[in-house]
Amino acid sequence: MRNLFKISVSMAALVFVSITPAKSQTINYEMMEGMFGEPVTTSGNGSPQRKSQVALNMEILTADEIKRSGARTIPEVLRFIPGVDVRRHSFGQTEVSIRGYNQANSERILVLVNGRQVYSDFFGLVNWNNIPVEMSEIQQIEVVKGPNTALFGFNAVSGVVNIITVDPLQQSKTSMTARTGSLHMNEVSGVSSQQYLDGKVGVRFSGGGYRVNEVFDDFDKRVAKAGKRDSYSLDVRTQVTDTIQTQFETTRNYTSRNENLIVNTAGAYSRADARSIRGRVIADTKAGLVEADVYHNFIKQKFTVLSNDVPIGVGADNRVTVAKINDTFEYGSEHIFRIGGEYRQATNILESTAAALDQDDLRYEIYSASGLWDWAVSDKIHTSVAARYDNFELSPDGNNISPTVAGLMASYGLAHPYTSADYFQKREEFSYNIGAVYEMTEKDTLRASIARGVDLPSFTEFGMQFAAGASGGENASAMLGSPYVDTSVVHNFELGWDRKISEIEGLFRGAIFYQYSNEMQVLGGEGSAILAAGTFDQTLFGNDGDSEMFGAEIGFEGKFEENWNWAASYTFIEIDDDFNSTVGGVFYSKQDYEDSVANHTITASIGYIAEKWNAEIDAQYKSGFYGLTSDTTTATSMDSILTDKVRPELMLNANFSYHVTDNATMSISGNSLAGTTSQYEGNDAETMLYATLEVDF
Amino acid sequence: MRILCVLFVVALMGVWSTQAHADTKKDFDLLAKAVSFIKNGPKGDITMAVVFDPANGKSVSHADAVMRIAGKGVKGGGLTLKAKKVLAGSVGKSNAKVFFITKGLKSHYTKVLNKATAAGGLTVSTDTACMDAGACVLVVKTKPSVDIIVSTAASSKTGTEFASAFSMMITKK
Repeated sequence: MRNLFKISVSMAALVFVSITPAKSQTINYEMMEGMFGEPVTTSGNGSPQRKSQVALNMEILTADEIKRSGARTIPEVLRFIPGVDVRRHSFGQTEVSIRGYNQANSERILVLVNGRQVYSDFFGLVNWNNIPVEMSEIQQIEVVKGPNTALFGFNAVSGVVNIITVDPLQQSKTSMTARTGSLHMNEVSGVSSQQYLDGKVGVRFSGGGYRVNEVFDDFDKRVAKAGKRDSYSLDVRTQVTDTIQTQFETTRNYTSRNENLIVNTAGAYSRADARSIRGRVIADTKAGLVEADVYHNFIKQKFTVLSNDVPIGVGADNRVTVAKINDTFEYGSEHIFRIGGEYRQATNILESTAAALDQDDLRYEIYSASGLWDWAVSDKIHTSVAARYDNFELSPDGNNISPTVAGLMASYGLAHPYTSADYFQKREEFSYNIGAVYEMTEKDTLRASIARGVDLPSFTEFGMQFAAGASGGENASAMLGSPYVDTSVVHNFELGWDRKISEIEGLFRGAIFYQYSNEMQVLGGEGSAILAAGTFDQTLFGNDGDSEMFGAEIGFEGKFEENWNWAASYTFIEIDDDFNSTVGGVFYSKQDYEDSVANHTITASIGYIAEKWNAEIDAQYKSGFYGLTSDTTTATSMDSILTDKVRPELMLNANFSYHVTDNATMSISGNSLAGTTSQYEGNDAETMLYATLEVDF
Repeated sequence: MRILCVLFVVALMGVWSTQAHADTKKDFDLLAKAVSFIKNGPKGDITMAVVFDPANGKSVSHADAVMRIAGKGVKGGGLTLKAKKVLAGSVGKSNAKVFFITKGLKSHYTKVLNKATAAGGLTVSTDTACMDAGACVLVVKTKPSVDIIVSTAASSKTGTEFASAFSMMITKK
């Protein structure tokens, strides 16, 4: 860590050394969008592409679209994208999935900020409030639907969300935002992105925070608290020469929130302190566009939950270091190649005030090699083939088997199923993305893609150690991670059709897709059993069974009468699970993806843009589904976990903005305006209203 | 749902039309920005020689149209293209580095390309015929859709290279 810090400081010092006239080599997203009339991205296959030439199903939300929506948070912006499922659990907790498989703390979606992962390996989750980005500094949000582990690595199996911020070398912006609203929420944020030294140095500094007083009636007051967020980000980029650019970035974000956990209906409270430091060099060389990137994420999370009516604290210290290098180059006029290597190391240490809840201290290392071949077969046909090899090595990192858990099991004449030696594990995985884009006519574009993605178990799935004695008629039990839980492989097949429709000044987008996930990670996998003559429940994480997903998306967007814009979409998703685990003849695995998906989602938006004001209304109808919950305040065994119906819902959001002056804008916005909405199996989401003032300097 | 079905039918309707279009400011905005991505390329205020043949009506009309749009300068990517009419027969005397080839200039293609090469510059146009003949390094068009096209043969002759990130997004012929 210290060496990394020294390297990063040295890179920052390049700001003041040997500066020559500048020309930026990275993508100027704003300028490119203006040039090509459409967003550009590197999230399709790693090379710069116009959105229309990306073979994958990708949506890009621009800064203007984000601003007009009035959304306060990134999940709220994503909510109305076809195929994206957003479920608000509390003010600070939102779960996002792409094409089904939504669950609390989903590990199937990978979230990045400018290519740096903000995903936590501890539980396999994304804490959206813990992302150190202010809404006003977002240049665009890229959403890739379907697996893309070939480019981004493990866990990009349902999709990828890459948040691109403004580039301080290329874009100037200074703004402050103040907001107040429901739940006594008060929020401020600001961003400054400026160039210095004749455009050779760019500095982006952003910060923000909120305080909110959210109280759930059914949460125990010993765990429920007010929520808050404090965040800052510093990004310094330097054009060292015409062809070399460096970046130094550091971020910190502290978030606390009410947390809804499946196994704890009395509620929980979590605090997360996330820090990062990053150094990057990009050079346009004779060998191509070479990028070297090193970053370190440090996330410290603490949960306060009730266990047998006693508040206990659980904390995880999760650190990830990533070093990668890649070279993207052209060969002739038709071929683009990209080769890359990546090293990733992660450690996780868990501490708990309850001896009965523990987790092995584990670490893993991943060595990866990747390649891409993009071929412009003709003026109308582009193909893209990306492949990646990952070598994963798990090992214990200090304290392993919980003595409390082992002791409880021993009291029932049982041996802990694992020893330290079991935690030395290796996996080798291969993933790929193959896609083609055919510009059939000036108006019609067809896309086809096949992908193989890989879902890596989280540290919790590898090493959780939780034990509870017999009480209230329930058996004594142990819920344990397993060093043998394997990766899950996801295969995805998709066809897409885009058609420009001049009559509506817009376009039609359609897609059909099929996805097959095998060896899903479950709680209740192989080795789960009722032992000791029926007095002890042993539940292990493992792999069990498969799941198929089939779906279709149809969407239209357009404009009329110069000022109006609109969009409408329909998404159908069907999931069929095939889980096999039984214990004592009873079906044991509680994973239930087929019932937890809303089969039908209809989304519609309409907006008006005038000189002095703009307004937008977004509506979404989602059919009912089932979610996992618990029949006790603290679930200690699988028998306590149940499914509960979530009713069909109409979600209505709206925003009205008025430009008081050229530089100042007042906005009134709201979520769930049609009434409280049931977005998951727990507490309903109340109607929220906000008033916002944004000033540009 | 009915409305969605109607719109779906609209989407299925095949309507195709190709139309020639007149140059607009958008074309020259795009041209200026594209030129700004040339490695070690010109910066600041740049004279763009609008090369025309007075004996060719199409060329004269095109040159006049370009001057109306870009005569006072077109900014993009940190540089400003300032259009200046130049007779095709006098192109050898020009100090420009960017040479805009107007329509109908086929008989002068080689001479202008050679002049651009000697000047360390490039030839550009909005006329795809120039690209097809291998005489223009860079051609831009914004209708019916945006396309930036680079001739590999012409760019190789003039030694023009573009920034890699930009180069990967344009069409090469």
